[in-house]
Amino acid sequence: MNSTAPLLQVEHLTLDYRLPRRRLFAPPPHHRALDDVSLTLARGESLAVVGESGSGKSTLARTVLALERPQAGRVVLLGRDVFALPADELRKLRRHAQMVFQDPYGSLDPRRKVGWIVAEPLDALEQGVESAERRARITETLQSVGLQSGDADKFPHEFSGGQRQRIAIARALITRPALIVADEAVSALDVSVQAQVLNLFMDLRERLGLGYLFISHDLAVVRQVADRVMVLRDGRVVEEGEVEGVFRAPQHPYTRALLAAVPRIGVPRRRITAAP
Amino acid sequence: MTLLSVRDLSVTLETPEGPAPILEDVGFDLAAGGSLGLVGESGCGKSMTALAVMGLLPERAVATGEIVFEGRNLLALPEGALCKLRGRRLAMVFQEPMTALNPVKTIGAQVAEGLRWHLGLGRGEAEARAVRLLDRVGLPRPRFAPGLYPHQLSGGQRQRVVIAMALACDPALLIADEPTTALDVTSQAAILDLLAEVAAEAGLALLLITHDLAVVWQNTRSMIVMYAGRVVERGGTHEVFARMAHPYSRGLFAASPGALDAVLPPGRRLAAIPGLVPDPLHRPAGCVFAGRCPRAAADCLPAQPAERRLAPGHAVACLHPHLEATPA
Amino acid sequence: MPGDIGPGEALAPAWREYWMRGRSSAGVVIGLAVTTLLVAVALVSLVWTPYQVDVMDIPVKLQAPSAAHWLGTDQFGRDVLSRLMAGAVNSIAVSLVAVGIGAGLGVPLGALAAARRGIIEEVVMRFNDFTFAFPALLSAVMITAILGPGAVNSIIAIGIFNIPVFARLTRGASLSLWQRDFVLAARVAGKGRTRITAEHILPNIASLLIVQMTIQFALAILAEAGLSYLGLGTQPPAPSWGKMLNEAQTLMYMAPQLAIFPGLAIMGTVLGLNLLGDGLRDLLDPRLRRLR
Repeated sequence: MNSTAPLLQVEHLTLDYRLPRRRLFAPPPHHRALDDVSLTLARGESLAVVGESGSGKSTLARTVLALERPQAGRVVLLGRDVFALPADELRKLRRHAQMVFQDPYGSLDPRRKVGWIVAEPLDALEQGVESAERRARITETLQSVGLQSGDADKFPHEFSGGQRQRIAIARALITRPALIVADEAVSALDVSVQAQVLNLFMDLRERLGLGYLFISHDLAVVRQVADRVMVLRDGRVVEEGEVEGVFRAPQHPYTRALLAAVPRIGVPRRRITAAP
Repeated sequence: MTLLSVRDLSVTLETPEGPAPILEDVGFDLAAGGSLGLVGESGCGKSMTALAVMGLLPERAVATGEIVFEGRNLLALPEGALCKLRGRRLAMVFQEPMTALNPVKTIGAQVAEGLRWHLGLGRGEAEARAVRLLDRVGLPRPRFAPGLYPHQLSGGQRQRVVIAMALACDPALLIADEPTTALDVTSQAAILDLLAEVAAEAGLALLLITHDLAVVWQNTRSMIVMYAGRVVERGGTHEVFARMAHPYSRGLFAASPGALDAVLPPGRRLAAIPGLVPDPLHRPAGCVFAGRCPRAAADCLPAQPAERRLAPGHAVACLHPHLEATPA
Repeated sequence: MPGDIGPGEALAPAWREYWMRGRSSAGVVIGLAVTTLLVAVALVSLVWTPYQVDVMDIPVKLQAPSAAHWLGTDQFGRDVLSRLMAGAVNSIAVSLVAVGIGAGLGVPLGALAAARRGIIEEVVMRFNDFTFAFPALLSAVMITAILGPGAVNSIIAIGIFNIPVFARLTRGASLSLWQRDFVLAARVAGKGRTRITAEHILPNIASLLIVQMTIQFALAILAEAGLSYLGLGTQPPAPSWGKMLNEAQTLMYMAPQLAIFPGLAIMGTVLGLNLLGDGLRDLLDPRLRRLR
């Protein structure tokens, strides 16, 4: 495979959600969650998608991983159109793209041991892995996120929020993917824990050459972890570019409003006159 | 005039594994019309402190110490007397606007409820006042009719309704527990603006609980930093930020992703605080932060350090505090 | 490791917590005691009863409880205690198999409906509604009237009415689980719906199902007693509590114990099972809501 080909290409993605029927004989109303969204992500690159609630950023994350089906547009992962693939080909492709979720308490099955949880993608996507190798890979991934091999025999409730997020990251890494989609992966964590997990993301990226699609509402976090940023509003892309460039000289009024709203130490609060 | 004076507040929670000390010797003062920020992360006890002041601790919790509000010790009051104070002199705004409002009552009715219950107003007058309150918090008619239901409003709008309810009976103290954490960043800014405005207008004292240092900086005149159930640093907000004497405060500051126009740290790595907050059941005998502290020494281990004054209005519970100014 | 290694310690952490909390719940303890007693009595009766169950001894008929016959004798001189014990076997067997059928068919149907949604879900749920629409006991009567009386047919009749109960419960609980992040993570990991249902959904609703099974078991015992009372269930000479009640009707003034004891047996069993079910439900709910 050509190593300079982009890791991920999203082309004119449009996705509607069906809302409950208002009238019995009229077609049900739609909510447009994504409206003509396009992006490109190179191997090893980190692209952040920012927006407020309802911007469509989580929908984008799920659609990129083929968990939702768009009405129009393509998602091309490692050169292959994910929605044009037959089911088993799509499954094979999943080895290369994994996800870390927001809620460290909800994203791990409370009834399963950590080792089983971390190995889940391995068990589903790689056939014929012998139990010795499986155990070794579990240990390797746990250690790479700063946990210990003994943690594999414990249950999620025995860990703190930050540690659970590390477990979720380990699960995402075990099949050695090229792309990780992080959907608000640090938003539910305390500041000091968030710092640890962000550092981990940076370390892993350097060591493993991972590409990130980093969804967040927190602009300060985005600046830490991303090379480029894309701003979504109501399902549309309003601005895109290198993080430093966009943050220093935002072009779109919405981007400016977002940046102005972030509280900063040392800067008195500016009165916002926008309507509620 | 000191409106609220908390002294040696300790709260222990009965758990199946034994008593867990959630708060230990917490104390602070809040003047009438003042604003105090309570900063800390999960497990530091900041929400418990708020609940203790309101008299809303869970049943299995035992509180000792004093919470003197308008001259009376709230911990010694019976539930009936506390009910009369809650909503009338003491009000609270919680983190989750989605669950703070009753989904089957209109917003107008919910705001008017307190007025009728505490002030004994008749229905007509209570409704009229409710409409004025909703207007005050930025939800004017005709766009926001008092007959609207919570599910018809956004998160930020619901939080405004909650604030209107809190202000209805003109309380002296408003406790806001992470009021903007669940909101979008633009709503956050608007809500904080609103809180500051109404507090200034009504001479309301504000106890603002948050994990976000920048929010404290922008919205409070004095602050305390809590860690693992204890107050580790206190003082005027600007003084504390200028010095950040306690290693935890400094660690928290260093671990926060910087301001958007600040220089990025080297290698883009944040200075994270290693380790985890100790479980309340397994707190060490000495300084509770010693296990994670880069400045810990042998004398930190035997006992909790007592608070020392570093400057007028700035105290820290540490034997080896930072004395140099912060790089801010 | 400090602390004793009691029976709770050997269990996985989740079950250990249930064990510790269950020990302090009156409902669970009483319910468990009653259920265990019932099962024990039934098992014992398979190998031994004070008297032979169907041996008639006319000279001692209609006796009040005495040292020889602890609960007295019936109109044929048969020992009431022995017949109660054997009746326990019958009640348990019928109820167990009936609930087994209900859960065995209902749970997969509900899980299928939740996993597939769409038209499959509609079909399953309409079938459910259809079955629910018939008053259970009346239809059980109808089914046994068509198929003929007997233990097997009463099992079928009661079983059919358990299916929609479990299907509905399973579907409801599964639907909310499908939205949880860890299920989404399993989809990202490449697992198919069947595997996710088996590995994630069912284990997480297991406790709900257990509670429901306890409750359905109680209802099945009542249903079996009702059918036997009407003569549609277990046929004589096999003893069953319902039949004993029926036979006691005409003799109530002469020998009330013939109605009281089977009645108490039914009532006690159902009460114990309900206490167990309620206690289990309380045990589970706060845990589900507790933030960890």
